[in-house]
Amino acid sequence: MAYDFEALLNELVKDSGAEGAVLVSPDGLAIASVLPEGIEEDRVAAMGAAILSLGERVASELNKGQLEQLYVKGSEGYVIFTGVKDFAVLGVLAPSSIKLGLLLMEIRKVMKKLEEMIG
Amino acid sequence: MELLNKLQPILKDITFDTRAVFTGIFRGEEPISIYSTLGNKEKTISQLTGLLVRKALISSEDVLESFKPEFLFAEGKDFGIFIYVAEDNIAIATVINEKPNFSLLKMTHENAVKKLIPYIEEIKEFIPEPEEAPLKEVKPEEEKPKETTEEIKEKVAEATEEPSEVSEIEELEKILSEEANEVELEKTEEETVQQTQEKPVKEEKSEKIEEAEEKEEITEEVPLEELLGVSKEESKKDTSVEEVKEIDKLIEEIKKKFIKEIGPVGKILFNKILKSINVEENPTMDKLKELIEQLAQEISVEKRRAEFIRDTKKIIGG
Repeated sequence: MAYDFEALLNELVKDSGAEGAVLVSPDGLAIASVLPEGIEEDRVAAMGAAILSLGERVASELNKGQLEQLYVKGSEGYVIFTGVKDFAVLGVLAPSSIKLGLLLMEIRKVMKKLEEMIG
Repeated sequence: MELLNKLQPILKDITFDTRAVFTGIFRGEEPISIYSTLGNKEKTISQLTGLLVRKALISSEDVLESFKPEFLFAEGKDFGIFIYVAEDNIAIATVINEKPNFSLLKMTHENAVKKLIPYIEEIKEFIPEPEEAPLKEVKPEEEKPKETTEEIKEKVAEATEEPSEVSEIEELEKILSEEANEVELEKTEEETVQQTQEKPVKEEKSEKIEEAEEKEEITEEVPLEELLGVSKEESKKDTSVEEVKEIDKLIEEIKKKFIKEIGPVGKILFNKILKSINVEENPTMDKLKELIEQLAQEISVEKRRAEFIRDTKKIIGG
């Protein structure tokens, strides 16, 4: 079965008002992406993998469970990274005007779909 | 000490309000003042949080132009991290050992930053501006007088002879390798971060290399072919290599070298370049040399580029 991750990312961007989304493998390589012009998926992917792994190391030091979500807020908007089991990391770029609650809900929906897709 | 005494009440307030197990004020990844109930884990958490401050809040601007980070929030089922930027790479970072309350954390940190503002200048004096990535800053060669390619080659070769050259990357890995199951990317990412701390890296370098680096003067654009020791005629010969497996090993070693030089993005760049020149389908020594040339072009600092070429040349035995 072919996974149409890009269609799923497109749906997320459309429904939530996000600017872009990228699905990243745990080693920091982009699996699929829907990003605005001028933003390199490779860079976003590497950044996501790097900061999530640092967060996970903090969790591991404290003998805590997995890091579920991480977001960085900048003056220009949000970058939100969410772990999809051990399979991947979903990164979403959103403008600062976005309704964060709505976006997080849309992300949760996509997470469920992704988990169903990969089994 | 006086400054630290002034900062401690701010951190204690955060701890009291949020039930944090660790909270600290950082400049870049350098901790300035810490308040923690973690005991012997305090040092590790401080290092990791410092890296997170640098990586997420400072380096995020490298990824997204004019992003101007304000805060970072990370959460798991029963733990959370909150980092709030004050100004000039100064941030307050807090670790919670229970289900985090985002709104409370944000409000508490906003208040703490207000209390911190009067001490910002003192903090800046206490810990000067962290240095930027060395690849951007280190360009001493450009101001020095010209030197011939032959002289450069001799010096590079001289530096190679040094047997006790300690790999700066390996050294830095030791500092960070408390976690056994790190993925390769995570390692190289942290190494890159550590590399930005120029001073310790320089200290670890052997005197001979330091000398060579000081003398090394590359103002004119040296053709890569010359540095590689490949004449144009020679490069046209397509030396077929029967042992494809051997080539694969060489490619893997070149890849590792490149990632160590460039950082995690190197992995992606390497794959792109490898694909573009078709080495795997047509594995020859000439293709490998072409690969090295192309990879070297991604290294902006002449000195580091020459080092990369020297090392990879050794790998392929060219």
